[in-house]
Amino acid sequence: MKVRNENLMPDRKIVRLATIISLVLSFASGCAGSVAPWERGNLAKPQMALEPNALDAAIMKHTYSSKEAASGGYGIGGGGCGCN
Amino acid sequence: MAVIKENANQRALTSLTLAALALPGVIASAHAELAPQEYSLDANVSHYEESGRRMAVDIYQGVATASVNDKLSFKLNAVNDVVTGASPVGPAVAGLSPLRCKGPSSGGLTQCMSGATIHEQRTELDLNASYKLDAATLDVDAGRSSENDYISNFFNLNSRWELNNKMTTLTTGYGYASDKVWENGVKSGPVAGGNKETHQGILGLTQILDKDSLLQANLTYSYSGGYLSDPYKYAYAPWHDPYNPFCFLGCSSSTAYAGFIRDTRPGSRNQVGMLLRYVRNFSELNAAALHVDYRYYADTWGIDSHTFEVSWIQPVLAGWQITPRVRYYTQNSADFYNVMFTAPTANGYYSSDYRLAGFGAIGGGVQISKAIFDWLKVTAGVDYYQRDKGYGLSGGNGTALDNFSFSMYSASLNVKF
Repeated sequence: MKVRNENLMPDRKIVRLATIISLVLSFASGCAGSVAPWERGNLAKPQMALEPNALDAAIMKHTYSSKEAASGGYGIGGGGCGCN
Repeated sequence: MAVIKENANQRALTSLTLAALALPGVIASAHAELAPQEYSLDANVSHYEESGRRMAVDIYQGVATASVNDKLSFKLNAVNDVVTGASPVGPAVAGLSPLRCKGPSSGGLTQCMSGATIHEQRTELDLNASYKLDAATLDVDAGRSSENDYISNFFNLNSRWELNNKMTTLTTGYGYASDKVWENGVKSGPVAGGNKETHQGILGLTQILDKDSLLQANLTYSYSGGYLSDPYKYAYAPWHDPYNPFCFLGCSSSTAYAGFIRDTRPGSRNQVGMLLRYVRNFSELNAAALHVDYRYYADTWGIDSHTFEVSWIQPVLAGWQITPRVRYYTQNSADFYNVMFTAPTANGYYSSDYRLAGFGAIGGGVQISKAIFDWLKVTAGVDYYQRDKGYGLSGGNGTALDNFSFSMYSASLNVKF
């Protein structure tokens, strides 16, 4: 069994995550040309929303986090539950 | 969008620009992503059902949104879950197990299930206030979730900042939750349970890549401290004092679990999640949208996981829309997890909770929706999820006894006033 100090997040993982995010966003903003407001019609379509059906997404994420160890990433908020 | 002539209707242009600038999806919280309307009501009824006559949940959820003016809006979210069925307690050696270890058997082990049929409700209410400034939106959310053995009080603060000519949106947020959990139904003896506190933070960026695609990157961090064990779960520990058995759902002689030890986890947990989302419009395919999500997760209990999700939203004729989706998940086991414990551990932690095991899961589903009268939209969907130890790519301990599947059936409607 691995022994780990549960009070400390592995620094290397945090650095790795921050590096990946920085690289992705640098790449993304580097690739992004200027899109004028009147060119954003496609982006404003409902199916282009990150959560087109927010209620369904909230229920599914709550279900997954009740059956799996992972949570987070998509946002914060909501209370815990005694889900088994 | 086609080029707009200078003399085009300014009102239409303004409306379209405002709609575009209220970029969908720049909000990190799933709760906060309903389309802004003066008044709207979203209602959802879902039925969740696990294989092997395990848990079943009927979910009733409603969200009412009201805008006071163009800056201030309120949203009330209400959830009622009705839970029935039985849940796994932990695996044990077949033949040597107590009365209730009559679940699935494999490899000389058998699954112990909760003895009494669970029948309980969870009720959640939370209120959100959102205030728009020139280049920012502030959200405050507070609520309470309660069950007969769990109470959670929480609040969240979120902000979104529009930068770079509104090509980029920065999201920051903080959340706090104070929870209390206890073992229900204990007739005598000590009651397991306790309090826990959770602090959460989010830093996110959404970037418009071009007129057809955008990318979001979120980093979330969570710290939990206090009682983080599950008061209903036990680990099989045959060396544990058989003359002083722990009890399960009351201490009558028929329900005592000799040779088991309570689920015992560390008193703190740090969790990090990194989410990357890509959304692309396909104008040539009737404005279909591709959604690709990847999430990496790690915590100080030794768990790493990867989640992949892909969905395709296809508008078809006359307001109909069909959305197939697939999902893959894999995690390794927690450092202190084991299927059973043949000897005491050095750190005193014990857990055979199937959610802390190493496993993988494949899921998928389809949603069909229909927009009617411009003010009503109805949606129906079905999802299927198969968890299997053999699907995992992350390694770690686990047992096929914990394999299960669930189906989710849902129907919802959205009304705009």
